[in-house]
This record gives sequence, C-alpha cells and structure tokens, in this order.
Amino acid sequence: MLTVNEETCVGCGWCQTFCPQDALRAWGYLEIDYKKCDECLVCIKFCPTDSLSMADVSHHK
Amino acid sequence: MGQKQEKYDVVVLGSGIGGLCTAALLANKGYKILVTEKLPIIGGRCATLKYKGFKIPTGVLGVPMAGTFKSIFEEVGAEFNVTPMTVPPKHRIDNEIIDMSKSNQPDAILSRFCGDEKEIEALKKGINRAQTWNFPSNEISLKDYLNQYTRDEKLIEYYSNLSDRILSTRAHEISAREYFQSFAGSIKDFQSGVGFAPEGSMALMKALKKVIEEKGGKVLTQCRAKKILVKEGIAEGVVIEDKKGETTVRTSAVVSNAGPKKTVALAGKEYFDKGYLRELKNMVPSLQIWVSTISDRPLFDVPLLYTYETRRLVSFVSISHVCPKLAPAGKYIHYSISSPVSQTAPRNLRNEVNMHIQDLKDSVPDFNKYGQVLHVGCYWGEWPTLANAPIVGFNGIPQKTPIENLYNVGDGVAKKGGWAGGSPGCALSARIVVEDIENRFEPG
Ligand SMILES: Cc1cc2nc3c(=O)[nH]c(=O)nc-3n(C[C@H](O)[C@H](O)[C@H](O)COP(=O)(O)OP(=O)(O)OC[C@H]3O[C@@H](n4cnc5c(N)ncnc54)[C@H](O)[C@@H]3O)c2cc1C
Ligand code: SF4
Ligand code: SF4
Repeated sequence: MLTVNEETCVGCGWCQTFCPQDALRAWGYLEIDYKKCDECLVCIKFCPTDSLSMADVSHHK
Repeated sequence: MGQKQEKYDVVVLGSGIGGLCTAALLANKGYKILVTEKLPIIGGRCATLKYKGFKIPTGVLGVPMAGTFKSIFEEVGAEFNVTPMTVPPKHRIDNEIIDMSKSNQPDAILSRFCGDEKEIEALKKGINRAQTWNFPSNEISLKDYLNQYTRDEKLIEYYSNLSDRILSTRAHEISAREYFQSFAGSIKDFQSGVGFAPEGSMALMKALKKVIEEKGGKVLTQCRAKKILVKEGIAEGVVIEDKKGETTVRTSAVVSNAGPKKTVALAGKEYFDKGYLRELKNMVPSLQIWVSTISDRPLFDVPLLYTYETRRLVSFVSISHVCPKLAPAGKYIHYSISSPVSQTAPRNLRNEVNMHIQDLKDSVPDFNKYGQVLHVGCYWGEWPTLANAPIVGFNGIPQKTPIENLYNVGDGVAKKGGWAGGSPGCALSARIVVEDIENRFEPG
C-alpha cells in the first residue's frame, strides 16, 4: 500500500502530475485515493522529499 | 568491495540552477564534470511539470532579462530562450483594479495607499537614505525601519507586499539590511525586466545540460549521491547510486546543490564545527503556495495582477498572454501566489490553501465564472520557496564549507555580505564557486 510520510511531505504536488491513475491530490497535504491506485510505483521516484514508499509488500491485489 | 570507480575533476550533486550553472561554466573551461541528480528529471525548482496537457512550474517562473543568470548562458553558449513581459502589471487596491502604466510607479501607487503627501515624502526620504547612504541594521525588520519615517500602516503594506512577492518574507519579519541589500544586489538584475521561458523554465535547464554534455561532461538522472568521501578534512570523492548499484567517484572538488543541510548529512556531521551547525539550524526555509488555474478564456486582461490587503494572495499571473504554449490550444493557464503572514509562526497548510482560493474568488472577477483549479503546490521545509529566507538576524551561510574542496551552491547559501536567492542568486553562487575552483586547480 502506498504511504506518505506526513512529517516530510510538503504538498508540492509533483507526484500528482506523474500518477497515471489520477489517484493523488495535493491540497496542502497529500490525499491518496486507494480505489484508483494500482501500485505502479511511478510517483515514488518523483518525490523531491522522498516521502512516498510502498509499505506492506504482502498486500496483493 | 566490488564497487566501480570513476574519476572526474569536479562532481556536482544536484541539477538545480546552482548545480547546472556551476557544471556548465566549468565544463566550458575544460574541466571534466559529472552531475548526479536523484530525481528522474533535471532542474529541481526550475523544472516544468506536465499535467493534463498543461505546464506547471516547480519554482522559477520569471527570470531577469539581464545580469548574472543570463550572462552564464551567454558565456557557455547555451540558448537563453526567454520572452520579456512588455505589458506593465495592474494593481488591486481597495477592491479596485488600477492600471498605472501611464503614471510614475511606485509614486502613483503610494498615493493610492495614502492621501497624505507629507507621509509619502517622509517615507521616501527613509528609503532613499537606506539606498544611498547606509544599509540599516540587520537586527531590525523592514517595518521597524520604515516606522521611523511613517506610522501609516497602508504605506508599510505596499512595501510588505513587494518584499513578500520577491523575497517571500513580509515587512515585519524581513531584515531591513537584507531587504535593501538584496534590491541593490542580486535582485537588481530584475530591474532589467522580467521574462518567461515560453514552454517552461525547464528548457533553460536543458540548454545548460546540452552544453555540459557537448563539452564532454555527464549529467545522470535517477542517480543519488549517497556519501561525500572526506579524508583528513579534504573532500576526495562521492559515492553515487543508480539502478545498477553504487559507484565511487574520485574528484578534486565536490559541489553540492542538495542544500547545506543535506551536504552535512552526506559528508558527516563530525567534520563541521559547532558554529557552522548553529547557522544551519537558524536557516528559515520559506513557504509559498502556487495555485494553477485553467480556463477556456483568459481570466485577466494583462499578464500580471498584484493584489494588496488580501488574506494571503499577492499576485496572479495570467501567463498565457505571454506564453500561450503552456496550455493546449484554446485553453489558458494562470498561476497565483500566496505566502503565510509569518514564515516562522506555526500555520495550518490546508487553511493557507483555502484562504488563497478564497482570495482568488474575491480578487479575480472571472475566476468564479470560468476558472477551475488544476493544481496546488506548497513549497516549504525540505523543498522550499527559498531555502534561507532573509529574516531579521539573517547570517548567510557561505559557499565554502569547513571541508576543503567541498562547496555549496543554490539558494541555501549567500553571497558574502548579503542574501542571494532565486535564479540570479543561485547563478551568483555558481560564479563564486567556479572562480574559486579555477584559482585552486587546473582541469585534468
Ligand atoms: C513555487 C516557487 C516559485 C519560485 N519563483 C521564482 C521565480 O519566479 N524566479 C526566481 O528567480 N526564483 C523563483 N523561485 C526560487 C527558485 O526556484 C530557487 O531559488 C532555485 O530554483 C533554487 O535552485 P537551487 O540551485 O538551490 O537548486 P534546487 O532547485 O533546490 O535543486 C537541487 C537539486 O538537487 C537534487 N538533489 C538533492 N539531493 C540529492 C542527492 N543526494 N543526490 C543527487 N541529487 C540530489 C534535487 O533533486 C534537486 O533537483 C521560486 C521557488 C518556488 C518554489
Ligand atoms: S511529491 Fe512528495 S512532497 Fe510532493 S506532494 Fe507528493 S509526496 Fe508530498
Ligand atoms: S503508485 Fe502509481 S497509481 Fe499509485 S499513486 Fe503512485 S503513481 Fe499513482
């Protein structure tokens, strides 16, 4: 499951622009729509503050 | 340990303005350069994001039409494709939108704020004294300084707004010395006019990358600096990591564009004295919020609207008037900018965003009818608007670190004796570092 580190995420919205599923929205903080996210991992590498990670790898769809 | 080894004259960590300007200048002088960027795209806070067919800046929007930044492009032969803004801005004061293109700004604006000519004259005397006689103290705010000449809150608001727009710090917090010194120093470049890269500022960073590569340098993306190697107080290499694993790179100098705090973490705290670490702790990264609004028609008739006495909003940029290619054909994009009242007090980001949007509704008449918010970007903390805001007591961190041959560039470091941020400031930091490297060793 994609998780955001709320301590370090600044809400820049970079990740939102790279998500192919339109699952992210920054509005001062980051909202993740888990119904849309297909865990493609794209957003993680674009986060300038390294705030995104995929936790709980045992969670399969 | 089976790690690969490579050798470069200079390794640059990060591909922001400071990093790429340094790399391009050095590559042009014959130095063998490696730039490593952890993200998949170059430019840092001078990049361009694509979203639903529109383009959104990650930072730099307006650049000076002359001065240090542009001079680097000219020197290295990189394309400086920037369209100047030729139409003067409008101002929203007291719920009224005012066109001052035919009057003498800022005199005419000041008289909109205050009807008392005597107050304005007194204030102008104070400003003139700071500009031509002596910079005021670093221990008082701009507001404290101006209050010696006028108590008129509305007049102070004008300067507060100006300071906020350019230095993301309001009059009650900005150092009086840094305010005047910046306008006389790095920000002066903006007096030559402001321009915008027609397809986003990332094109400027790509132009520098092209030069670096043409001169034999390398720019790697998704390649993170993991460690700066130090031996007997001297920087001698960097461990970098990409998809294939770690590589040790030997070098004569390391230039970090990752920000002074990360530089310390990469090299190891033990090499930095207490005084240096205390200065780092005192850094105040500033917050600005950038909202991108799209529409089927321009929401304002000129490229720039400055808004005063709002909750948070300071400017609204109807950028499609100057750069139509930032939006798909027949569509328009606008960027608006707000800062919190204080850069040091606690704040609630969601409220800050909502106040920004409310201000748009109040200040830009057509926003309600035709505007649609596309994207909200908050820049602060580890990914700030300005890494070190020039607040009262500001003491800039120099480019040279306590470790020999390890430098910082970018908006986290200052020019000796003054704040320097944004595109002109980052470019200046590169010039200062390049000059030092040239004096210390030759290419090869
Ligand atoms: C919203 C906003 C609007 C702005 N508007 C303007 C404007 O209109 N005009 C203007 O002149 N200025 C503006 N600024 C300021 C300007 O963007 C910054 O001052 C400038 O871009 C900072 O550049 P920098 O050299 O410090 O590098 P940065 O842009 O901070 O780049 C640093 C790079 O280093 C990389 N990095 C970090 N750690 C590592 C590592 N370990 N290994 C490898 N790479 C690493 C990062 O990924 C990043 O790409 C604005 C800023 C913001 C945020
Ligand atoms: S890119 Fe990173 S810092 Fe920016 S909003 Fe997304 S998670 Fe937060
Ligand atoms: S993992 Fe992929 S789908 Fe999920 S939010 Fe990130 S980019 Fe979007």
